[in-house]
Amino acid sequence: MFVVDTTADGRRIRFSANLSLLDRAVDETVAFLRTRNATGRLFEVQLLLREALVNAVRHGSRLDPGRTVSLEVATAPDRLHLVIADQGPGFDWRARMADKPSPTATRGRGLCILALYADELAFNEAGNAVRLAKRIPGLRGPASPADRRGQALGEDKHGGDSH
Amino acid sequence: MEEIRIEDGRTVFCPSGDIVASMADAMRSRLRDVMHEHPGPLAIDLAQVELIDSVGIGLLIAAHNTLAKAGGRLILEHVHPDLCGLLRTMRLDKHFQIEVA
Repeated sequence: MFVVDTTADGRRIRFSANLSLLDRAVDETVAFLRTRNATGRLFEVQLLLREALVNAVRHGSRLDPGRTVSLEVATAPDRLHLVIADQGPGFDWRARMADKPSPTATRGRGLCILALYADELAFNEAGNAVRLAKRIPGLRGPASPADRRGQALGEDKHGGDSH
Repeated sequence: MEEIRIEDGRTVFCPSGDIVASMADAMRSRLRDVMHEHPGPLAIDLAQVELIDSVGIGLLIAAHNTLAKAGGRLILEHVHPDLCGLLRTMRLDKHFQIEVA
C-alpha cells in the first residue's frame, strides 16, 4: 500500500512498513519539495527523512507490512515541517536520546543524526510519532502566488495516488 | 551492482548507489564475501554514493571493526563533501581514513 494525499500545506504519504516503499516515500517527498522551489541536493532533508522513516519502519513497525507508516509534509516560507508516525507501541526516546553510541557500535546513530540535523525535533509521549522542522532557504509555502496559479491551471493532481 | 577492483595490493569495493537501509543487507553480505575472498587492505570507493544513512554507517563500521581486528583500517575514497561532513560530525573520521572527492 502506498497512498499520497494532497493536504492544505503539502502532502500526506501512507505506506506499508517496508524499506522499498520507504525509498519511494523519500523520492516522492523530494520531488514535491522541488515543486515548492527547493533546490540543491537536499542532502540534510533526505537524511532526516530517511532516519525518521527507518525508525518508524524497522523499529516502530518491525518491518510488518500489515502496519502503516505515515509521513506528513508541510511547507512554509523557508521552512519544512515533517511528522512521521507508526502504529507500533513507541519507545523510550528520552533514554535513547541520552544514550550515545560507542565509536565502534554498529547501531544506534539514527537519533543522533535527527538531533544533529533537525532544527526542531519533538517526539510524542509514547514515542511513535516525531515532529521535525528544517530550514530550507527559498522553500515556498502553499499560498504563494505561483502555487495558486498552478492550482488554477490544474497542475496539482497528485492526491489519491493509491497502489 | 557494485564493482570490485584490485589496486596496488588492496581491494577496492565500489557501490553503485546510496548505502541506505533498503540495500544494506545485500551489501553487507557482498562485503563480507569480498573481505573473505580478498583478505587484507580494503577501500570503499564512494564516488557514486550521495547518501549514507545510519544503517549504512553501521555497515561501514562493521567492516572497519573486522579490519581493525587484523590491525587494518577502512579507507573511504572519493567521499562527497556532504558525506564527509556527516562522518566527521559523527566522529568517524577518527576511525576511517577519509579521502574527499
